[in-house]
Formats: sequence, C-alpha cells, structure tokens
Amino acid sequence: MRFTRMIQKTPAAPFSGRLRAECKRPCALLLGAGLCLLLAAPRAEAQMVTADAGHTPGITVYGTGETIAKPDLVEISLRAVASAELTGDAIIKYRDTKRRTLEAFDKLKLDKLQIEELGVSLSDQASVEAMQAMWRGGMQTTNVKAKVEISSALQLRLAGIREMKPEQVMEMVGKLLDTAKDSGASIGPTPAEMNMAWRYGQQANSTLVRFIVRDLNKLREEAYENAVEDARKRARRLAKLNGITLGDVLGVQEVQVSGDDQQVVTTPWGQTIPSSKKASEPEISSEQFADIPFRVKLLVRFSILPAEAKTARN
Amino acid sequence: MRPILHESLNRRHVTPPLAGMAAMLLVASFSRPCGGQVVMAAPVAAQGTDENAQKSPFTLPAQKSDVAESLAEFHRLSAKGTFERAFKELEKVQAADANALTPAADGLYMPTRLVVRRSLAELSPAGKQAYRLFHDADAKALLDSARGKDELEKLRKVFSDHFVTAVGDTAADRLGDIYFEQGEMAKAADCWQAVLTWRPESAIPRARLLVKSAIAEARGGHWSAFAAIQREVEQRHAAEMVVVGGKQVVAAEYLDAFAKKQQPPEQIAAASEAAVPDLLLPPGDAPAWQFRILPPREAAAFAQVGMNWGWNQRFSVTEMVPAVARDEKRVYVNFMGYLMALDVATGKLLWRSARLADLGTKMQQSQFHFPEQYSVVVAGETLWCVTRDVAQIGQQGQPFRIGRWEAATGKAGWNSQNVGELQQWNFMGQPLVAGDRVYLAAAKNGQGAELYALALQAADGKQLWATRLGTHQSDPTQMWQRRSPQPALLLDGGRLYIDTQAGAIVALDAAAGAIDWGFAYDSSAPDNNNWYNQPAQFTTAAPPLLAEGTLYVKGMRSDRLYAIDVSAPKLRWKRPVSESSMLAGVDRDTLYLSGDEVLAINLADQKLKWASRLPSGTGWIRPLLTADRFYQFTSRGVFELDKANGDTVRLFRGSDLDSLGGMLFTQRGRLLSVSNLAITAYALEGPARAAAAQAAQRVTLRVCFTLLDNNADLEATPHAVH
Repeated sequence: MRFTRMIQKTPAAPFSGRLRAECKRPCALLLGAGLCLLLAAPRAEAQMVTADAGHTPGITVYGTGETIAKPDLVEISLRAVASAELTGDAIIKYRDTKRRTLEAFDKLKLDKLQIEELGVSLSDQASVEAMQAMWRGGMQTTNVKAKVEISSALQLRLAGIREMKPEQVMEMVGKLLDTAKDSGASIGPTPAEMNMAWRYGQQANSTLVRFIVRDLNKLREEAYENAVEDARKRARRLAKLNGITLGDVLGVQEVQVSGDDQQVVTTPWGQTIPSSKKASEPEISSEQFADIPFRVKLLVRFSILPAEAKTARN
Repeated sequence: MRPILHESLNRRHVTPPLAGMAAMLLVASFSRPCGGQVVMAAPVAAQGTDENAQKSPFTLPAQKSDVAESLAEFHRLSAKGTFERAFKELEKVQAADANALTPAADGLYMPTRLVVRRSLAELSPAGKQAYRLFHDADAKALLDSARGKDELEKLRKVFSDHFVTAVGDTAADRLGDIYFEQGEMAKAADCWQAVLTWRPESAIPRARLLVKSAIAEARGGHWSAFAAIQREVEQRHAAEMVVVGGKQVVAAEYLDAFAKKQQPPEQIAAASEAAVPDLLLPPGDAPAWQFRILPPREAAAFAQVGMNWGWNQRFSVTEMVPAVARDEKRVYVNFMGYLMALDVATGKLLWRSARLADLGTKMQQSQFHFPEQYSVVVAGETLWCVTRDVAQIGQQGQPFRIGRWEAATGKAGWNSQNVGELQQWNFMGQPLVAGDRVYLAAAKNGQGAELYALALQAADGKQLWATRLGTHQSDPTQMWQRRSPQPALLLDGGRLYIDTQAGAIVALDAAAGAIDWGFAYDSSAPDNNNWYNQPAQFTTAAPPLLAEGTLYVKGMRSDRLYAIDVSAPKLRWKRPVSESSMLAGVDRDTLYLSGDEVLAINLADQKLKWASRLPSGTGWIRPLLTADRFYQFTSRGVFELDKANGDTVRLFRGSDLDSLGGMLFTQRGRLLSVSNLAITAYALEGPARAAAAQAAQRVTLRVCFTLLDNNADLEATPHAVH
C-alpha cells in the first residue's frame, strides 16, 4: 500500500469505442443497466486522485517520509462517575469523587502533571442486566427505577518523560494509575462499553495509557523533506526504467500526515465517531513507551519532458 | 449448472420460500442502517410506576381479604358517622384471628388485635361516645370477671376490643402489671404506653404510668427508650409522687437512682458517645500471621466455578468470604462445611473437622453450593454452625443442618440430623444464641419458598416453637447461580426481628414466637432462571440496625432504606439508596452504608452527607466503625476513611492483595482481615491495642448482660448499641 505507484502515460480510450458491434442485445441491455447504476452510485473520494490524472501525461508517485521521536508525555483518561436515583445524591457522589481524585493527584506534587476536565454529562443509567436482557430478546424489567448518571472525563497528562528510563516511566504510570483507582476514579471501558463491544463482536479496547509526542514542527519538516525526496527518487527510477525524462512537479497532494486526524475517536466497539475533545495542537501517540514514527505520505505528479525529435534519417 | 438444491427438492416447494426470502432481503435492503440500535442501550425508565406502591417479593401471612374489607368498611362508615353499621363491620374483624396480620399504612402489617385497638382509639369523639354506649357494659362485665385463670385472656380482650370504653385504661394497666410480672417487658410497656398515648383523659396518674413504662423498657434492655421517658418525667412530672413497690417515691428521683444502679456500663459509655477509639494501623504491611485458607491451585479452581460449566458467569462461590467467628482465644471458620479453629495469637490451626482434600475438584463437579448459607457463631465454649456435610457439597436438595461443637476441641454435639423433629428443616442464616435458646430461620425440605422462624433448646435441640413468616416469590433454595437471601436475626429485649433479606422484616415475641408485626419493603425479585453469559451482580447483605428505638432496614436486593420506629411501630422515613449497598453502622447523627461506595446519610434530614467510592472485589464485606473512622477491606487494601467527610486518611495495603477483600474484625490488639483466600492478623499500634482489647472486653460484657449476638463481632459496630 505504502509503495503503491502509478504510471499513466496515455489517456484511457473511450469505453464506447471498445464495444463490439456483434454484441447481443440482452448483453448490451445488462451492461447499460449496470452503467446506469454505476453512474448513480455516489462518487468515492479516493478516486479523486486518479480521476483527473487521466489526461495529462506525467508520472505520479507516492512519496513517504518518516521520522521518529520518543514520547514526551503520558496521558491517562479517567472518569469521575456517579449515579443515583435521586439527582441530588448523584451530584454529591460525583462532587466527592471528582474532588478526591483531584486532591489525590495534587498530593503527588508532580510539577509536570496537568489534569483537564473535558466536560460533564448527565444521562440515564442503563442497567447492564436490563441491556443484556433486551439483547437476549427477553422482556424488559418494568420495575427498574431510573437512575441519573453524572460523568466527566478527566484527562491526566504528565510531561517530561522523554528523558526517563522505561522502568521509571512505568513506575510513574503505575503511581498515577494506583492514585486514580484508590481515589475512586474509573479507568478503562465502562460496563456499557464492554457490552456494546460484546454486542458488536469486538474486543473492548482496554488501553489505559497513551504516550504522546507534541512539538511536531521539527518532525514534520524532516518528514516532509524525506517524503519529497522519496517521491523524487521513485519518479526518477520509473523514468529511467521507461526511458523518459522526468520534468517538473505538476502537483502535490497530502495523503497522510501523522497527527492531523485528531477529531475522530474509535469506540470500544469499533465505531468511529467525532471526538468530543476540543481541538488541540497536533500530536502523535502510541500505546507503548517507544519511539513513535511521524509519517508523511504525499502524492506527487511529475511532468515528462518531451523526447527529442526523431526523423527518418536518425 | 443447475443448483444442487433443485436436484434434491421439488421446485414447487422451494420457489415460494425462496420468493419470500427474496422479498425479505429486498425489504431489508431498503431498511435504514442499524446504527440506531445504540439507542437500545438507554435505561429502562420507571415510567408509570407508583412510587408509593410496595413491591415486595415476599408475602407475609396476612389476614383474609374479607377481614381487610370489613375493616375498610368500618373506617368508611365511621367517617360518615353511621356508627352502628360501622361497629357491625368491626365485629367481623374482632371475630377474626386476632394474631393474623392486617395490612396497615406504609407497608406495615399489624396483628389484627392492634389494628382494632388503634382503629377505636382513632375514632372521633362522637364515635368513641357511640362505642361506649354500645360496649361499656360488656367491657365492664369482662373486666369484673377477669379473675383466676381467665384473667389474662379477658384483660387482653378488653384491651384489644374495648380499649376506648370507660374501663379500657384500667384493663391496660392491669394487663401491663401481669406482663411485667411474667417478664414480658415489651408487652408491659406497650400496655402502659397505649394509655399514655391514646387515653390522655385517664384517671390513672400519668407519672405512675411513665415510671412503670420506663422501668419495663429498661428491664427489656431498651435504655434509649428509658432515657426518652426519663426526660419527659424530669420535664413535666419531676416532683410528682408515685407508688413503686408499695413505697411513695418522687418520680424523677426514682428513675435517676434506678438508672445509676441498673444501667450496664457499656450502655452508659454508649450514651456518653464514648465510642470505640480509632485503630492505629501498623506502619508496615507485614502481618503478625496469615492463614491461607486455599492453596493457589484450589483458589484458581474456585475462581473458575461457573465458567467451566459453559455458563460464562461468576457464581457467588467465586467471591465468597467464609463465615468466621472469634472469641478471646480462637478464630473459627466454616468454609463450605469444613470447620476450623485457629489460635488467635499465632494463627496456628488448632483443629479442623475434615481435611480440605480435593475441594477445588468438588467445587467444580457440581453447581449447587449456596456458600452464603454456611455460618458459624461462638457462644461461650460452644460453636454453632449452619452447615452441610462435606460429602454433600454442591448436591442439590441436601438440607443444611444446625449443630453444636465444642469450641476448644471441635468435638461434635447434637445436630439437626439426629434430632427427629428437626430433620424436616433446611436451616438458613446465622443462628442467634441467647441463653439456653437458639433462634434461627429455616424452610421445610422441598418447600423452600415457605420461611419459618424457630426457637430451639440449646442443650438438646428440642424445638420450642416454629412460626411461619411468609412466602418467597422465588424459592431461594433454587437460587444456586446467585447469592440467595439468608435471613438475618436481631434480638432486642424480648423481641426477635427477622429480616428475610427478600422484601419483609418480621418482629416476633421471642418467648412464644407470636408475630408482633411485619413490614413489607421494596425489593427486586431475583430471577431464578439462569442465562448464559449472565453478568454477575454486585450484591451485599447485612443485618438490620437498631439504635435509639429505630430499626434501620435495607434488604439485600432493595433499593430503599427504611427507618421504623419500633415502639409504635411506625415508618419514620424511607429514602432511595443503591440496591448494592448494605447497612454498615449508625452513630448519633449519621447512618453509614457500604458496598462499592460508602455513604453517610444525615439522620436528621436523610440527606446524603458524603460518598466515597471504593474498589469492589467482593460483596461479602464487613466494614469496621470506630469513633471517627470507617475501615473497609477491599481488593486494594484496607481503606481508613474519615467519618466526617469520607476522605481516605490512609490506605493500608496489607499482605492479602491477591484477594478480593472481605471482612474486618479486631481481637486482642490485632486487626483480623478475612478474605476469599486467607485470614490475616496485623498487630495494631500503641493505644489501639488497648482499644481493641477494651472493645473485646466490652463485647464480653454485653454478651453477659443482653445475650444479644454471640458472634462477638460487635465491638466496633454501633448497631450493637441498643
């Protein structure tokens, strides 16, 4: 995939010209109907790259560039959750859980630790059993009392881990996780999320920690340079193999840039939904404390220089 | 090529189904995407449910419906002023079984005699006048003839049926005297309180009734009720003279002197709020000793029960914490019928009833374990257990029996298998040993839904009385895949409370077993059907708490907390709580609930003061309360919470972190933690050692005085203070 390349020296011939005259009528009808359906189908965006590449001679190649960096911060997502039949009780439970969680991390006295609250939500709490009963096709329990659930996502970020040894990082992460668990915060997928994952036949995402690289400017520059260089190398190779001369760049399109796609998240049951987080500066992350690659993938189109004129005498 | 299907099936038969399927596919292809199914995860709202409607899966033995109808008709007619017809209806009620329960307000079920008396007492002045017109002569004749062997019965008749007549107060006073002489203090106090409450115009001096009532309450062990009456006497009748024991005494001075002379020291301490001092947990995690109940291989086998049968669920045996009792010398364990005694100082195994060979295999070979039904209690030098023979582990239908063992040696005494009249019973819950009696709950073999209370003679197991308490909607003996409700017993004075943990609590006369009243509370009905992949529900259970004359009830599957004034009886208040919570303790102004979160509820306004979420590994927990602290043993260690705000003062990890958590006790300067895997003792620091020893001493004193709960685990739980 990454090394897919494409050469299009001549425009494609019109399809209609290729139809054989002796083609039988039913066949033609079927094909016609198929064409109609194809025309009616929504346009796939991925085809844009090749759609307008058909008429201009040139060499189109992908160029990929990659640089790596060690994570400089660790992120843990927590939840302060409380539920009760009385909303007043739920508020007190939520208030106490959140306060204790924040105080517990304050007591760690870690200068580079930041906690951000990403918003509070109120919802009806579904009983796991009731949910499963419904999924099994059973009757809903009618005397289940509605509960209010108050929940907020707390994002914990500890910076300055780049210079630490893996053992030190694990120790620090362990301390943060223990503090979170002991303070009453929730970590990992909720029972409802686990149920959804089960329902959709997915393995629930049990990742607790993300390691992140910010300050992507330098990485990005290097990766772009590498991608452009890679594209040029590939184009040259193709030109040489095909006996043509590579011309100027006609167009460049970004196909993939690490850290750009921050606004979607994947649920534990595999569904991609828009992120509820506010937009932040781009970053790249991994579930492991290891070098994280920053990747740039470009689609570059080069022109082909005209060949020198050849005569019969030559 | 022709499809194979066409070769084997007749086309005529195949075509219509295929067409149908095609049509279905066509319809399905036009249907909207199924993303909307996420909405199905929304909660099941209690739409259209009546908040005040009691939903109890336990049916109390109530009066026949026509009696209740007659009573309702009496109320309707008397409200209209048609008293003659009203009294005709009341006569039907009076003719019915006086001891059968009649539904009253707020889920209470009262004996019909009491309902009749109250109904009469609540009549309008005109109604009372009319009743006297009709019944004064009969009542006076009954009272006059109340002599000899019929005296008690006739006085009872006047008291219950003709209380509002001219002689009703006199009959109540005489009846109270008789009950007092017979030692039935609760009944005596009830008679005098009835006159004080409902007959304020009575010629019997109020101070005299108050003094007699206060003494009866004190003799019954109800010192909080005594204190309340004493306050009233000091405020309103301080200087009044009353005759007590043939002597003229000043009412207030007499009660003061009585309290100083008679009140047990631990009651004085409780009254002055000198609660158990806080524990000073050890600085390190190392235990003084640890007794591993199960080796790792067996523990792993336990954890798999329910999974290996294809159910893909956790049966309650996977999180069970064994029943434990302790005294000054030993810790006793009933682990699925294997009885053990450990030296409390060293943790050394002193004796055991059988070797724990192949227990893991036995657990996996069958499913019908009912681990919650095993219990152990120590009273003096005797160990009492509800248990099943280890050869019958997991065998469906095998009854649990009650038996006694010598605490020091493990030598077996009688058990219900060899006492003829007890062989029909399947015993449940923790026995309550008081003096020469053992109280406990049971169901007859093969009739698990019918619950009974029993009193047995401790010496030989003779059955003294058996009272039917009611009927479960779901038979607990079929509830093998989840934690079944085990009745919890509480003895206060002469009254025995039995919380079925399944939707009702019943108050009985401990002497004779008659039901004084019942209370049906909200509870969900557990589903006896078992489903594959059924999620395990976090379930806790604790006995009711009695403090300051108020009984706090929270059934194991109830999402309501109830406070009942036991003197009336009357529902004081109720409030919603989490179904998974359990009663943990009560002090002067706060009630504590535990479970996967600890809750502090202000008794004055029933508002939640604070909540503290704790890790939850097992629902088989027992927290510990001291003066200012709340301790809970969790899968992440022992949490020490500040009772003022719920904040964690300290998290003591300890050395049983492989476990799911469990129960906490103190004994002889040690903190004992009991988990699903081990019993661990930690040495308490400095003054806390003395505190724990003092607490243990207090338990001994209390047992001597009141013989309430011989499980001897009450030193730190305020519910022990009556």
